[in-house]
Amino acid sequence: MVQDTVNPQAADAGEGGFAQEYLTFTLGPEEYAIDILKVQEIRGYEHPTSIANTPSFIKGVINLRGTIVPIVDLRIKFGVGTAEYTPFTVVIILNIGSRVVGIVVDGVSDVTALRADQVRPAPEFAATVDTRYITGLGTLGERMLIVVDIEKLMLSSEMALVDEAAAS
Amino acid sequence: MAIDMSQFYQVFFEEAGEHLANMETLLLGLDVADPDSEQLNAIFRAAHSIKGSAGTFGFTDLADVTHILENLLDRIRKGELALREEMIDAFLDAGDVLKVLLAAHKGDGEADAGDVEAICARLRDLTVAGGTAAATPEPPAATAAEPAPAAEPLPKPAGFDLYFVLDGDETAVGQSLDSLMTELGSLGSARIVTRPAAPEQPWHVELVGDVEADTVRGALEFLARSDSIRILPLGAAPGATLADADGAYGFFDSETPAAGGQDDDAYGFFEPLSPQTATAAGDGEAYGFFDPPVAETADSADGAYGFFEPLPAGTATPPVVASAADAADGAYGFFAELPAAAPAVPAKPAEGDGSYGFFGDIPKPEAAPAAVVPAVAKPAVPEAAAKPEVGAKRAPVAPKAGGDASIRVGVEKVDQLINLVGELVITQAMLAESASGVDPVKFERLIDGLAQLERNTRDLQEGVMSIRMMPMSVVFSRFPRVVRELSQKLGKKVELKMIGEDTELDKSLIERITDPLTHLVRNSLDHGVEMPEDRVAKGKQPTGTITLKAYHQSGNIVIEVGDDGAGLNRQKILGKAKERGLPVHDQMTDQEVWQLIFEAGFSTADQITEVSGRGVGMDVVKKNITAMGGRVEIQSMTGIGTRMTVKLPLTLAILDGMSVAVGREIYIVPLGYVIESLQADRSMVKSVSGVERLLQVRGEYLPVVALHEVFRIPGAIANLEDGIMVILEADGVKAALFVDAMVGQQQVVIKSLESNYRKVSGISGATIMGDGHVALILDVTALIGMARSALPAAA
Repeated sequence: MVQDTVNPQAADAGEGGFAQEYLTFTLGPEEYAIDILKVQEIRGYEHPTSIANTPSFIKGVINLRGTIVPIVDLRIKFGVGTAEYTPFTVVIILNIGSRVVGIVVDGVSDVTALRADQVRPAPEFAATVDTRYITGLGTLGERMLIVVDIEKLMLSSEMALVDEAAAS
Repeated sequence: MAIDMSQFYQVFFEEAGEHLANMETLLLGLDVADPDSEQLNAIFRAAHSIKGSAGTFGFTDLADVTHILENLLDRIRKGELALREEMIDAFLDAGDVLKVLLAAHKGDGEADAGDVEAICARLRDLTVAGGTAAATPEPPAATAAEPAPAAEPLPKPAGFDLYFVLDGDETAVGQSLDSLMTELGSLGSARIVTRPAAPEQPWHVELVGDVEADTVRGALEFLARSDSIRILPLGAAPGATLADADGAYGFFDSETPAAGGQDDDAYGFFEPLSPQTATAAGDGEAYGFFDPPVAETADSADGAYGFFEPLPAGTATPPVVASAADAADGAYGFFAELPAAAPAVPAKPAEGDGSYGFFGDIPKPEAAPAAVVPAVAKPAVPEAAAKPEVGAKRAPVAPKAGGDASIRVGVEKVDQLINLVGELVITQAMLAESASGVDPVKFERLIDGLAQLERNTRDLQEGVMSIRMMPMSVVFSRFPRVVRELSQKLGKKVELKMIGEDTELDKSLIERITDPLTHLVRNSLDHGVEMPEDRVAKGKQPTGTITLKAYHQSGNIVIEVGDDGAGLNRQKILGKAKERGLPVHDQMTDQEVWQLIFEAGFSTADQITEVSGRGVGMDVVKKNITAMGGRVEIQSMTGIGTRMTVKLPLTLAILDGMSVAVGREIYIVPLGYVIESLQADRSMVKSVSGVERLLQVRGEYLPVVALHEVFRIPGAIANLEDGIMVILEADGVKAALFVDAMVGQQQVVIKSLESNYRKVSGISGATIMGDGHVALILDVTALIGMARSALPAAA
C-alpha cells in the first residue's frame, strides 16, 4: 500500500503534467476517489435525527458544532456493501458550494495524487450511479479508483439534498 | 487636506435620516396654537444639524433647502412669526423633499429639481409673507444680515489680550508659563504684558496672530485656571461690521447699529457702545464677545460663545446676562464686567443647556449679585451656579432623549454573536447533563461552577438577544403623519392614540411589520372610521379614534390596530363572498366571516378610492404576517368598531417550544400554537367510517393528526388512548396532534434546515437539544393542513 501513495511533488514533476489530490474511500469492495479540496473533515458515525418522508439513503441530520448537516449513506445510494453502522463507520464531511453535507462510507483509505493521464474516461455502462457523475477511472497499480464528481452528484436532483428550484 | 469624505457619507446619510425622522415627529407633535419653544428649538436644531453636515460633505442642494427651512423656523422660534398650520404642512413637505434628495445622493432614485425649487419658494413665501404679519417687528439687524451666504468671511482678529491665572505654586507656575508661552508661540507671537505680583493675580499676555479665540482658549485651559481665562480682542477692536456669513468672525463695533450675527458659526466680537445696537442674533454657534450694555444681546444664540463685557458696571448689566444665558443653547459665555481693566477674579458659571459661563463680577459688591442671580434663574442647572469649580470643568452635556450613547454595528456581527451564544447555551446544557450523574458530594465545586455557568450563560443570552431588540416606537412614529394626511384627504376627523411604544421587538421583525401595519391603519381610517356627520348622527363624537397598541403576551408581541368606527358588515362581506363564488354559508361564525377579508382581491368598498378599495392589500398583510410566524385576528362589532390583532413572535431566532416524543424521535412544537394537551379516553375518540379520526373536546370535534403516521415513525404508540393529544390552533383552525409523550418545555434556538438541506414538509426548522442531538421543529400550520387533506384518504 505504501508505494500507492504518490508524493505530490514527484507527481507534479512527472510527464503526465498536473496532478490532483484525491481522497479515496471504500464502499464494499469498490474504491472511490473524490477531490480532496471538497473535504472538510472526517469523523465517526453518530446516530442522526431522521427526517420523515425522505429517501432511504438520507439518514437524517446531525449537529456538527451548531450546524445542521444532512447525512447521506452512499452505500445505500450506490447499492454497494451493507449499510451497517459500526464504531468504524466513517462520515466524510464535504463542503459543496456553500453547503455542508456528510457522506457515510465503509472506510477512508488514503490521499492519492493522480495525474490527468492516470484517469481514463469511464465507458458508458449501466450502473446505479449515473456515469454523468463519474469523472473517470483512475489506475494505481492493481487498483481501480472510481473518480466521482462529488459536487455534481450531491447537488443533483436525484440526491434530493437541495430544493428542486436550487438544484442545477 | 485630501481626506476621503466618502467614507463618512454613510454615517451622514444615517444621521440625516434620523434627524429628518426626528423633525417630523416633533412637527407632528407641535401644538399650532401654542407651540412649545423647547420643541421648536429641537426642530430647529435638527434642521440645523442636517444643514451643517450637508454643507460639510458638499451636498449643497440639501444645505440650501435646509437653510431656507431653518430661516423660517428661526423666525418662528424667536416669536417673530406666528406658527400656522400651512407652515407645518410646508415643513413636512420640505422634509419629504429632503428625504428624496438624501435618497438621490445615496444613489437611490432621482431628485426632481422642480420639487426642490417649489418647496424653497413656498418656504420663502412663508418667511416673507409671515414677516409682514409678524407679531413683533423684526429688528433691522436680521434684515441686514439676510443675504448671508453671499457675504465674504471677514478678517479674523489680529490678536487677543489674554488674562489668566496659572495653577499651582510658584515653581509650577514658572514651568506652566514656559510651556504656555511655547504653546501660544505656535499660534502667533505672544508677549507677556504684565507679570502678576502674587500668584492669585492674573497674567496679561498679548497674542498677535491669525487664530480663533477658541483655539487660544483651548491652549490656555490646559494650564491656566479656566475660570480665570479671559480673552479679549487686541486693543480696541477694529471697525469690522457684519458677521453674517457661515463661519464669519466679526467685530461688532458700536458705530454699526445693524450689527447682527445672523448666521451660523459666527464668531462675533461685539463691542458696541450705543445702547440701541441690534441684537447679536447668532443663529448657530456664534462666538461672540459682547461688550455692550445692551439688553437683548445674544438672545437666541444657539451655541453662542459669548464674552460679555459690559463697559459700565451700571444697572443695565443684569438684563444682559439674563437674556444672554436665557436662550444660549450650549453657550460659552464669559461675562465679565469691567469698570476698569480690573480683571475678573472669582468667576461664577452660568449653566445653560450645556453652557459654559464665566461671570466675572466686578469688585463692586452691589452689582455682582444682581448680575449673577438673574442669569442663574433661568438656565437648566441652577444649583451649578453656586459652585464656581463646576464652571472650571467642561460641563457635562445632559444626555438627550433618544439615546446618544450608541454605536452602529453591522447586523451580521450581532447575528454572529447570537449564533455563538446559541452554541454556548447548547454546550452549557451538554455539560450540565454530563454532570448530572456525578456524585454531588465529591464534585461539589464542579456542580457549583456549572450552576454559575448556567446563570451567566442565560444572562449573556438575554443580553445578546436584547441587542437586536428595538422599540415599537420606531414603527409607530410614522403613523401620526399617515393618519394626519389621510384624514385630511378623506375629510375625516381622527385622533391617533398610541400605547406601548416602548415594547421591544426584534429588528428584522420591526422592518417587516411596518408595511402591514401601515396598511391596517389606512384600512381602519378608510373603512372603519365614519365621516364626522355620520358619527354625529350615530350619537358618537365627531372625531374618531384609532388606537395602536403594542404589548408582550407570553413570548409574543401583540400589536392591535383598533378603531371606534362602523365595524365590519357581516352581510356585506358574505354577500361579496357569494358574488365571488367563495365557499360561504350563513351559518359561518363571525371569526370565519372576518377572515374572508384576507382573501385576495376582496373588497367591500363600494367605490375605489385613492386610499383603498382595490382589494389588494389585506391578503398581502396576512401573507406577510404569516411569513413572520405571526397571525392576524379580527374582532368587530357593528357600530362599535373593529380591532385587528397581530400576534408575532418576539424574535425569529428563538422559539418557545414544547418537546414531544414519538418513537425514538423528539420533536418541538412551537408553544404559540398549543392550546392544551390531554390524554384521550375511549369516549372522546370518535370514528368516521370505521377509522378513529376525530377527537371530541368540550363539544368540538377536532381532526386527529397522528404524527407517527404522517412522518412514518416506527415504534410509536398506535393506540390513541395511550398517547397524548396536543390541541393546536393555527389560522383559527384546530386540530389534535397525537404523540407518544410530552418531554418538556424549553426555549430553542432555531436553526435552518434549508441552509444545508432542503425544505421538508411538516418541518419548519431544526434545533439542537441539550444532549447535542438535533430535534426537528414542527410546522403546525402545514400539519393541520395535512390533517385536512388526509382525512378523506384515511377514511
